[in-house]
Amino acid sequence: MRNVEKGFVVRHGARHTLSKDRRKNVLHDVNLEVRRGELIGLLGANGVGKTTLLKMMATLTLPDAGSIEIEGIDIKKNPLLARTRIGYCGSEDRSFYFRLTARENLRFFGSLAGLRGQRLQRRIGEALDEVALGEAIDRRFGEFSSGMRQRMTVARALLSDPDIIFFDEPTRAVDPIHADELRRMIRKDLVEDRGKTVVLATNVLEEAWSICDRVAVVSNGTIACVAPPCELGASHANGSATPPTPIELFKAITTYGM
Amino acid sequence: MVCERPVAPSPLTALANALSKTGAIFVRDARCALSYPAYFHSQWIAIFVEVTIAYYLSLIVAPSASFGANGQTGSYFTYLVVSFAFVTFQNNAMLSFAESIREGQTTGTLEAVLATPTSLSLIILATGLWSFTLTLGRVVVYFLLALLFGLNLHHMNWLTAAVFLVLTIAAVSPIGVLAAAATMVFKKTGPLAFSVNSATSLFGGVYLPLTRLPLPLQAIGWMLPITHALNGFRAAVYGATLWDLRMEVVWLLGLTAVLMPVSLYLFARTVHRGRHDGSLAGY
Repeated sequence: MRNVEKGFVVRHGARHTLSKDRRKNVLHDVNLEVRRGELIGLLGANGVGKTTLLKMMATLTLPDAGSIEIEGIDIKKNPLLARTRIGYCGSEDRSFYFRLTARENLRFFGSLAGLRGQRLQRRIGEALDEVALGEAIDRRFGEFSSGMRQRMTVARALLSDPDIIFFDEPTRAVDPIHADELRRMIRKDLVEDRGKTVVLATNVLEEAWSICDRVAVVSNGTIACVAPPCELGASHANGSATPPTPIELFKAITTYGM
Repeated sequence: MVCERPVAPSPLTALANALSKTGAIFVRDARCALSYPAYFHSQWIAIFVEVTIAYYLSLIVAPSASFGANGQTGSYFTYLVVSFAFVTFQNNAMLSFAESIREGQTTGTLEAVLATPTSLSLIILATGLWSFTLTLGRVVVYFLLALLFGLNLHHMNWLTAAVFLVLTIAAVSPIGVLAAAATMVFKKTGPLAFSVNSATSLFGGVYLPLTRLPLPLQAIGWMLPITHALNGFRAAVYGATLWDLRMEVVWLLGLTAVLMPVSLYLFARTVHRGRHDGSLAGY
């Protein structure tokens, strides 16, 4: 991701149809390189642009300027090919067909991801098992709780066994036990055992600190710093015997920069 | 980071993938529709009501040459049954594509679908497949019920009828894609689709022959695909061959050839606009 910029038009209401729309810049001069097999965390205050960044990487939102490449594929020029390499777990946990079962939903999205036949059936079972929803495979999605729906979005992202996975707050609304299992699955199964590259947007600092190789803090419309959590702590210790806590660090970076 | 040169799939694999994805969209729509059994089955009752209305209306309107085709006098009942059955293709096209997009926007499934490596043309065109299949089933039921009320299909040219069925679906699909494109931008379906459906029903010769309308309205009607689809199918009922209807065939083919790429292009532009202003999931 090089020199990426993104802004959105702020539309006026019907009473102001004749006045000019305003443009609000969300991100500017964003540079980020994610290494293969790395788990990188995206941190930042609400509305700072974490989801926009993820959506741009997942080809769902276009950058105004700059370029984004996925394994050498320019996502602006060849979004379809880029999508064969990625799995996207969005923050919208309602994004399934409520009248269909978990199996039927995943069969649909798996087919669109290019899976067919036995492989599709096998991957549906595996993906649901990975998020501990194997027993709910034939239950309608509409009957799922918020946490189960959130885990379904994770299962969908894993379905085609992509090399690169983007998670947007995957543990939001998930109970502590399943959230812990999800974190372990992302860190151990996906990254350490299977060598996947993961970008994880989260508001849970402890989550980022415990499982990420590096964290990127988004602040004032750009990436304020990228470093392993332990190095961030050391660089902000200021000679103190005890390193700063994640929240102290986060406040320092988002307020004063690196 | 090591860059791997992307390998394009073979044409056969690409075809198998496209068929698999089309099938998946068809099955999704069928399952969703069938999961509302009361709503699904009520449409058969509606057909019975419409055929009954057509029958009783025809009792007060005398048979006329303008209701027939191929030089034969036709009954108003046959005229209305063909109209009611066939206009549902257009009505469905106007509604089903747009409603599918609208539902995808409100639930977030549209964004999830667009995140997959599936072409926009396939996504939108396959969306109409279940709806058109269901409409085909409705047309069959219309005619079966109408047979009980005395519809005469003895002179039917089945080949002509089958060709016009396909041409009708092809010609009204771009209208559905345009309605979907409008939904991508305006985030709403509704009054516009209803108005267009009502107007085209009048100008397209659904209730009465085009020749009974004022000349300016006839000119509008002549441009609509539904007019030529209805003319063709009505003539098929009275035994017309494809050669007899070559002008209608050419018009429908031409309209499809022009409207299809234009509608797909406009739909792609509206999705591009949604990606640019971040409004894909907005509603």
